[in-house]
Amino acid sequence: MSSGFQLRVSKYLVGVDVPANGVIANIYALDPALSANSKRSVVIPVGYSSNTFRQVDLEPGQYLIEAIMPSGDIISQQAIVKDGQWQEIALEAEQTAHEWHSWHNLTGSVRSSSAFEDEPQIKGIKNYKVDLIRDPRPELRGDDQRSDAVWKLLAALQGPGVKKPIPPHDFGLAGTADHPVASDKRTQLHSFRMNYHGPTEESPRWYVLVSTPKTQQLLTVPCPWFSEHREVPAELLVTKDEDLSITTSWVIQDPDLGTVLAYLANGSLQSALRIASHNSALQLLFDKFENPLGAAAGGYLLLANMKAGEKDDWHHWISNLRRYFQWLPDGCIQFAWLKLKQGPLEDSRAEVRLALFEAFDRGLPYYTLGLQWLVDGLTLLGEDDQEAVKRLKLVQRVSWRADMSNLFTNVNL
Amino acid sequence: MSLGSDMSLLMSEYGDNDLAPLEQALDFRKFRLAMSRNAPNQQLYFIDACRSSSDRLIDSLQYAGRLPVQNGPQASAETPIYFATLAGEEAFGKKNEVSFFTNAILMGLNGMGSDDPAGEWLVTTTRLKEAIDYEVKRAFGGAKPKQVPPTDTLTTFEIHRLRNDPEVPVIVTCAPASENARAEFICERNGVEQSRRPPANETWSITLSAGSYDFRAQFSGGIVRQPKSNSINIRPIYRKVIIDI
Repeated sequence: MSSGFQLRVSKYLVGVDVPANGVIANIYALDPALSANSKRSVVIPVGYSSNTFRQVDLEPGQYLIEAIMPSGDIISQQAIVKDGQWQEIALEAEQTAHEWHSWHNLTGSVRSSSAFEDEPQIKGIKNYKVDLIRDPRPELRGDDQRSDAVWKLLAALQGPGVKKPIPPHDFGLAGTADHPVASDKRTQLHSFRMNYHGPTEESPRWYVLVSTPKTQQLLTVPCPWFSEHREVPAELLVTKDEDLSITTSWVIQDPDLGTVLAYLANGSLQSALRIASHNSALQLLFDKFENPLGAAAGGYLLLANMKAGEKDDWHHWISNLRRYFQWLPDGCIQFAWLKLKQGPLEDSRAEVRLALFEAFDRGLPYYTLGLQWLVDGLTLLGEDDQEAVKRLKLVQRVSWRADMSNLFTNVNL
Repeated sequence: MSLGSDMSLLMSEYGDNDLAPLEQALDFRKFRLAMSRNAPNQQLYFIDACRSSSDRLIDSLQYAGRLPVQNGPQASAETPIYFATLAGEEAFGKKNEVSFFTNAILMGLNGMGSDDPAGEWLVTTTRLKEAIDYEVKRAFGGAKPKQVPPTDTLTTFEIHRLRNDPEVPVIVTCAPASENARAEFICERNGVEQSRRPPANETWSITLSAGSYDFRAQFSGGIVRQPKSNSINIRPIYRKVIIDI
């Protein structure tokens, strides 16, 4: 007779359940004689709906269940499996001060309600201006004839003599102010859905400019993001500090990849890969190419977990990402690093160089990891390669102003 | 000193030469990159330092310090890196104690970052990261939502085998927590008392070897409360014991 647990993490996510690709859990058999029954890296759902549970087959006995959340929080519970029974176990995640904080709390970019409420009383800070740049200048789109334009444009916006603040129309034809969908004294939330219906091979590009009296940040917008044939919203949370500095973070409300991105953002690469591989989600991303930005996240995961010299079936996925989506710099960067991880640089120098130069021409990578790998890749080409050095100097100037702890590229101006 | 993707590790002699201060610094980004093209093929980096932003790296025209190693002929090595803090921020500790980060590493290696998939307690890179993430966050008391930065590569490999059972941090609390002020906590193993804490207006933090324990909260008037499970199993990464009142 079968037995086990029905597992989930209970957390309200503004009406969105993550029924399949949720969070990582370990289930330890507590009887030493049954330790072989332990199950590690089980993917369990997150949500509140009555049917949002995952059935995990286990032999009767006592177990400790441990869920490792993308935020780094750990929720554990001890429970008994009885013969022939399927016990429901709902691990209770911490709640947030506002419902609209819930996705960002899952990723670790905003604290739970108890910690939030324990904060010393602070003066409310008014909302900052957030401009969505709907049609960026050709340089920022990366499709200008002058391939170094984006890098020169951004590098020139820093340093002495640059007039601040920079008006949004300096970056595009139509800077449009975007109002927060929710805010409180410390945070403001913006939601973006682009309603793009064109081919994914020709996706346009968007940026957001956040302006405060102290700073301006130019953020790559991870849109359009498609999941199950529809565009899902990308949410930007701006967290305001009393010294007028800000922190920004993105969440994609994607039931398949939302938590994958959260683990990726926090450097929990193995957990991210485990979830992305669950239900063949990763393979589907590359097979269907409905969501190139999601496929790029998958590419970073595969490469970051790759052992040197490893041969695998997925390598051609990276080549395809580079070939089919010429608006996406990240595919080229990943191809270069695939070669760098497969063997010595001298075995593939020409291919690596070409791919990195192509990435440079396509513009600012969507992912911060891409910016880091572009700097590192150009560095590896060496000081004797004058063309590489020329590009490296520009990319490095931009990377100095990037917030490297953000998942998506974000440049302080 | 940190600026975007670049980082300069300042040596103790840093600043001795006013004309060339970065001569007493290590260009860490290039160092790690060059090391990754050399043996061994598994390397591990722990950076327990503040990561102040400084325009000195811009002023120095991309010179971020010395580079004592050159690119070798290897394919990329696995080079997980653990930082004490985010770029541009300070790392913290208590006066006359090791930093929060070093403490988290030591706790991780001492068992908090271990698992026993085949019966033997092993610390792996991935499990160590989970332990450090948890412990640094706990040490900061949740003062910031995010304290430990992501790493750009984190392949999983074994870094330590424990000779003894792992030491695991445990937090014991009443629910509601306000009852902690009236509760005396007692921890026993196989009927032998291991530790006891008199009433105090906070949770009880102890470190225990992995295994099964019994906990109870005693109140004046002989009232005793226990957790829902009779015997609580303690194993890494940490365990919270809740006693409902």
